[in-house]
Amino acid sequence: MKTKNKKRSFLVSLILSLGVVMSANAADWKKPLIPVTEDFTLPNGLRVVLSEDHSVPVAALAIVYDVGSRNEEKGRSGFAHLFEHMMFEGSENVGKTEHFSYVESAGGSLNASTHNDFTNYYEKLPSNQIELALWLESDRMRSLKVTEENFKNQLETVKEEKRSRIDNQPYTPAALRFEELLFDNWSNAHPVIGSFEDLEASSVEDVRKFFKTYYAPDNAVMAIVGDFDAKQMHGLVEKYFASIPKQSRPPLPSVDEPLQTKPKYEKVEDHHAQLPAFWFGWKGPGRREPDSYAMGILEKILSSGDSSRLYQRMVKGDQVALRADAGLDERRGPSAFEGFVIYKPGHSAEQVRDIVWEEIDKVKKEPVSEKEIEKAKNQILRGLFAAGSSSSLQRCLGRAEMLAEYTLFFGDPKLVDADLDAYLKVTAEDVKRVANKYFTREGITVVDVQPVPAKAEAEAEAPVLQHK
Amino acid sequence: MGIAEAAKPRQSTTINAPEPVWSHPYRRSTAGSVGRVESVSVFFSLIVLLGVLTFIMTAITPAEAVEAKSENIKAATAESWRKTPPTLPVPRPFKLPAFTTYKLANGLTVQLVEDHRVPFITVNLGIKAGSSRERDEVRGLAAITADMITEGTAKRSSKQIAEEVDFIGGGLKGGADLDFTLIVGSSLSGYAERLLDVVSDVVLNPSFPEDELKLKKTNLIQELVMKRSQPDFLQDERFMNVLFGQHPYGVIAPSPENVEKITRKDLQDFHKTYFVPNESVLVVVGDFQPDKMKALIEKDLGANWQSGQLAQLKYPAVPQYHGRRIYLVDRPGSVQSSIKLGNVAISKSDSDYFPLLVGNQVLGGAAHSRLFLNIREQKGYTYGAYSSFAARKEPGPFAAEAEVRTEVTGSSLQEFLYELDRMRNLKVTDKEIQDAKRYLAGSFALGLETQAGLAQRLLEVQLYELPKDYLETYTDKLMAVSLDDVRKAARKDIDFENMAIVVVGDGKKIKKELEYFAPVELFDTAGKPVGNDGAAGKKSS
Repeated sequence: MKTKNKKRSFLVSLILSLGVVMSANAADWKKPLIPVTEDFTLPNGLRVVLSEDHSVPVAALAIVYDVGSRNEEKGRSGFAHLFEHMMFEGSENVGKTEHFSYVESAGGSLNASTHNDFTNYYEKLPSNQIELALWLESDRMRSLKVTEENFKNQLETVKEEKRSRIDNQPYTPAALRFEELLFDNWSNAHPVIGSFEDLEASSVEDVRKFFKTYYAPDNAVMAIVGDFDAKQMHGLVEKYFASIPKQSRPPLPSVDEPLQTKPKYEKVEDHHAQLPAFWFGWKGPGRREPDSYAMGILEKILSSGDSSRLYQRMVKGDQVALRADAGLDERRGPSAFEGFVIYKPGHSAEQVRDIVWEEIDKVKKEPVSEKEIEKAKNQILRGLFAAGSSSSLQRCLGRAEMLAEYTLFFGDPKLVDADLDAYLKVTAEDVKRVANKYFTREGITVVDVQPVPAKAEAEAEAPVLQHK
Repeated sequence: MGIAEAAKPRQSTTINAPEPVWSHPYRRSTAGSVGRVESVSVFFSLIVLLGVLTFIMTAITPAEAVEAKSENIKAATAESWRKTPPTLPVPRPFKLPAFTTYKLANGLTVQLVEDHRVPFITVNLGIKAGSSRERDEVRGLAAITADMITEGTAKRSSKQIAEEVDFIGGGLKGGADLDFTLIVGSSLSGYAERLLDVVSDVVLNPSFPEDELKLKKTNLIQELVMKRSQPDFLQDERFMNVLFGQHPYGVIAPSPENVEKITRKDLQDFHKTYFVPNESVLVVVGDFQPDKMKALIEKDLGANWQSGQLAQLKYPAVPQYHGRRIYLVDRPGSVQSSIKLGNVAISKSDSDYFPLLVGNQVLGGAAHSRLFLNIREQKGYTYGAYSSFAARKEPGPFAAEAEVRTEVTGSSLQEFLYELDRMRNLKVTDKEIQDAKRYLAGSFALGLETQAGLAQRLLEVQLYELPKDYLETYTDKLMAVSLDDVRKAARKDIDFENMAIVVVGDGKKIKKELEYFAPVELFDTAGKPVGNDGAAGKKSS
């Protein structure tokens, strides 16, 4: 009890000195949110962040490469993701798909994901097994194997993946089309999954070039979090990674977006959807840009939890929608603020959209109450402290990914604390200003989803999307 | 991934399910299926849709067995120590966090675990009554009752509850599965008092307002209509129905007509009868001070909550079958066939639990298991093939399943039968059993990393009335499983000759092929039998 009080008063003074006003009831937390035990860069440019935590016998490794779909060249859309698949096809000492058997047999889990602005790989293991992850990740960074057969095989797999996870799902093809329409710059707009034509036009030679350019130690950051000894881990990192040669860091692509002066609209037919829906959205501030914090708070006000404005108005109040959500897809460079509404039969898209606009106009005209701002801030804290979110501080993988991303993108693993402070400083005035700046009549993009009955047999196997 | 969008999970494959992995009547059963992609929401979510925009490599890819002539991108250096994976130190002894267990005067069992890593608190209340307690005419009642408790109380409206929960950085949801009702709440720890207050309000005094119930029913019916377009829903519906017949486990979702019929009075009665403290367990994990927490629990869930008696639940017998049968749900135009085969297996307290857990892992628990390696990696018929079993209060299903290309429906079924038969006849290898045990022990430990994961395990022990040392000895029991135990369990729990095989796919293209395996009964996507060719096995109950 005593120590707790002491901690609280220390925190209060710390917070006051930072100028953050917090409710007396709000939770206190230790700073830094993710203690960094070591932060070093190998001579080959690989930056490594270690965070010791002995509370549970678990450790996670996250490695983030500075490459995503935005780095692709025209005519090669989808290549970053296809390449990510190739990273599981074996390297000098690890056989094809053995990453999975090694890690699972050790009781762990692993995966990878490709985004617009980065690609990440992770392993999470009982802490005594974490060296296995170093062995696996270093082997593919230094000696990825590329064969014509594996390449063709992965090409087919990615096509199968697109068919089953996108083309065969309700509302998803429209989501991709929506994002394509929302951005004007091809680097931001084209889908991560890419097009079949582009994928088929790529070659093993492209794979080699991509590997050499982007999968270099100086184009990545690795974070390891959990139950290990940092000094010992430092030695292991050197052992496994130091001999991998550096490359020159590739230039960053231009992701500039022109200011949108006219609303964009499209209608997409959907054979799998049972109910009509629409996507709507605007270009938004990039990650860590000054406006991004107020935008984050605005996202919570509009769409976080059952008390949020869109849910209360559309699902509960007017009862026109089965679902009404919005979220900020944060990226380096312009982000996208994206909303999705599935509405009930008996209403027109225009009617339902008018209701969305009423709610948007409300945040543009009327200042949000102090209580609602505080609620939104508590939702931000929930995102960090609850178990369920991907950036949950309860999970060492969530911490490792945050450390790696902050370090790669902005050069400093401690920015998670600065960001939290920035969110907690947002005022009602900021929210109103940002709503007016971004949620404009001329800047909106809308894609209507029109359910159409499934066609019989042969036709049903053809692509379901007609948007060209 | 900024803090602001922290609530959006972007990985679709997790071993630690963010919220308790609870088998819900409208969810796919999740027990024993670690490492699989689970669709856990009652309704698909925006999160999933947005998640597709960033592309996730969820699993490995179908592959040919051919070892290709390889060409390394970089000339390998002479670091010969890289040739073999590192030898690893012995696991650190696993210690369960310390917890306190006690009972209130009204019979409520309470378990407390302090966790000061983050300023957060997780509260789970489990009630030993689920959809098995429903009468046939009001299927869906347990789930709707649990779902509706947050839609209004004597002193708060639905909106006020939502406002309060969101304000305290919290979450609060009720749900019901076949055996239990579960209320999961959480908040920033500074608001623990307010969290306990709202939890007790919705558990003790829900008012089930008429207008809220009407909206819930309308939306639920809409969702049920949408579910019918999904092959996995059609598959589970048929599979559970043929396995369990009139047994309450035989229904995975109510019909729209059922939902129509449910009244406010039904909800009030269900709540009054079954939400009793002496048949409930409260687990609190998080950043709290124990004395203060005990006082809060006594105030909010002690003094005001009256105990009651639950009638002994009598389950009807499950149907007995002789011979294999195929149930084909015809979905014209389907480009894939969803295959699921299995039988009624064991309950949570069965002595076969650990042997079957290990055996299932070898057979189809993850991507290193036999079904995956054979049907996906070697044959390339599917994106993933798995097996699982759901051990419940009563014996639940064992099943093996995959979605395969239409053209290889028969070939895939043949491989499933081969692998199931092999499990029964031959011992698994030493390497297989070791890998399986390590995987399961690791997943178990990894799952306890979060408050929600730990709370779920503690609750499981209490609700299923498992031995007190169940979690402490979990890994030991796992490690003690022998090769003989696995084969014995497989012989008993995989009813190879009398399996039910459910296939959802294009009937015109696959029915003939399936008839070579067993008699085929045809159903439409509404779940109704079509025609009457192919006799099913004799029903003796």
